[in-house]
Amino acid sequence: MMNKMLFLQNIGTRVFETFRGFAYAMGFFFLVLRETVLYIRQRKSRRVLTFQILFTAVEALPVIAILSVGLGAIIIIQGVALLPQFGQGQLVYTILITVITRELGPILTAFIIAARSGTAIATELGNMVVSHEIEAYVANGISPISYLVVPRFLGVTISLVLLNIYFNIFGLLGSFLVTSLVASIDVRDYFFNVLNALTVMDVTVSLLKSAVSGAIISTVATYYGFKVEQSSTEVPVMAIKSVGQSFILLISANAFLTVMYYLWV
Amino acid sequence: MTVELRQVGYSTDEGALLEDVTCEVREGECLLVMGPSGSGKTLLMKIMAAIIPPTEGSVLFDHAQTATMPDRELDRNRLRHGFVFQDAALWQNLSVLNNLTLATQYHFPKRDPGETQRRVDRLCRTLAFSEDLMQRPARLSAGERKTAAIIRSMMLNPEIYFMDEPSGGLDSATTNHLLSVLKDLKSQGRSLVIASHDSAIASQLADSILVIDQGRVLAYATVEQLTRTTDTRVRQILADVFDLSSTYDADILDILGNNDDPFA
Repeated sequence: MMNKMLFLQNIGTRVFETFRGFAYAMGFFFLVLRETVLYIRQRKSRRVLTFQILFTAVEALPVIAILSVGLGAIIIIQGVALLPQFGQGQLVYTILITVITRELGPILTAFIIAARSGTAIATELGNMVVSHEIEAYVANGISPISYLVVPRFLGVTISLVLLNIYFNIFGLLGSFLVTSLVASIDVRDYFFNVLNALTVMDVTVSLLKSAVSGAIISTVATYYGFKVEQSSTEVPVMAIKSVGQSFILLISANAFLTVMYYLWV
Repeated sequence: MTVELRQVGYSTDEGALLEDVTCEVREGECLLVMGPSGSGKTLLMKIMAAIIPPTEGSVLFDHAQTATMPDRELDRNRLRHGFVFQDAALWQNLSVLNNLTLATQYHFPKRDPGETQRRVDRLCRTLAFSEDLMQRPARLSAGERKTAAIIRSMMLNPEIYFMDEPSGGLDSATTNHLLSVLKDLKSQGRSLVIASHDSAIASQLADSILVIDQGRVLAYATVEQLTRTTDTRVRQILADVFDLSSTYDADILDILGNNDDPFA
């Protein structure tokens, strides 16, 4: 009887803690949104924002280029091999756009940035908490949300949108390179067909997914960075939690937006 | 600027770290916070400076409750503070110069950079800080980092200073510079809240002393009153703090009652 009570009490505590954590995280997110609006209005120094975009977007360009060219190539090879067997060869461009622009572009760039920049942000902020640097900002009248979180929030979000566009360009270029190897195809014909298959809605959904993913990664990373309390051993734990939580939320948000897209169209 | 604590407490899931602290620092006064390591001095200083909100009681800046202040107003009030952390807490990703100038650039972006640079130079000279300002704080020694943190706290010419072990890690020459700077600040009407084990600071600066142990206030009195205390625990702590365990009775009176540093 006692064990059962203890078991129920543990479940109750966990549920309560989960809800409390969720409410706190939502409060944090809305605080970041409010400070972001103020930050844009105030036109303060953009130094931290510039560095964040440089770190998140520019330094990730090579890995994203390689990944997108490779994926573009794989998709076109599979499409050209399989679709004509079902008499649907003309759908290859639609599939290219659907897979690269609407689905893989936003989610893969988000995964790369979550693993790369999300970890870096959580680790950096966690170390700053441990060394009392965050308190030093507060002591100097500098809001850590406004000075540290908002530039990262904007930087990661802007970077993800740009990287998604970049991913798309290289993905479609990769598929063209492979196509041109197996069949002589005119570059104008290829891009005409691709652009024909591309709709405004595809672009909108793709960019929206990237913006939402950027907001998720930066909020989760900064939230877990600030969750470090005293010890440097907490830093890697929070960084890992940040990546795990980001992946779950990214997949959920992308799935939700995909469903909304099909309900809307 | 007046800072007042009313029945302030701070608790975590593991228990109370600070209980029922009431004290006040008026303009031009120096409050010395004393107690053994882990007694709650640093936490108390952070609560006084509104860096950490208390879980009980209230903190008042110029008779206004900090708990009800909007964030922006609280930030504006913090500009009137200078805080020196025990471990300096310099921003590691910035150069020493940027550490010193960040708050000025952030709060007063239109201020002439030349004026800021002149203030940096003047404060560096005053505290005999001659290190290369373009290097990162990690390259400085502990004492140099502490000196840089003291300069950072003085950049905005605040009305009240919170200094957690300001002379910790400093050599005797820099400690003397610091002492004379603190005396100057006090004579200019600046308030000082200092957590220190330094007997010179205790004897030459303190107007009142707050003795805490395990988060509880054991004594809050003027220096004169404290020299007459009969509380054995307070006397024991003062003796431990000043490392005078064998002959504490006479020496405490010397340290607190005289204006000269007995160790000088």
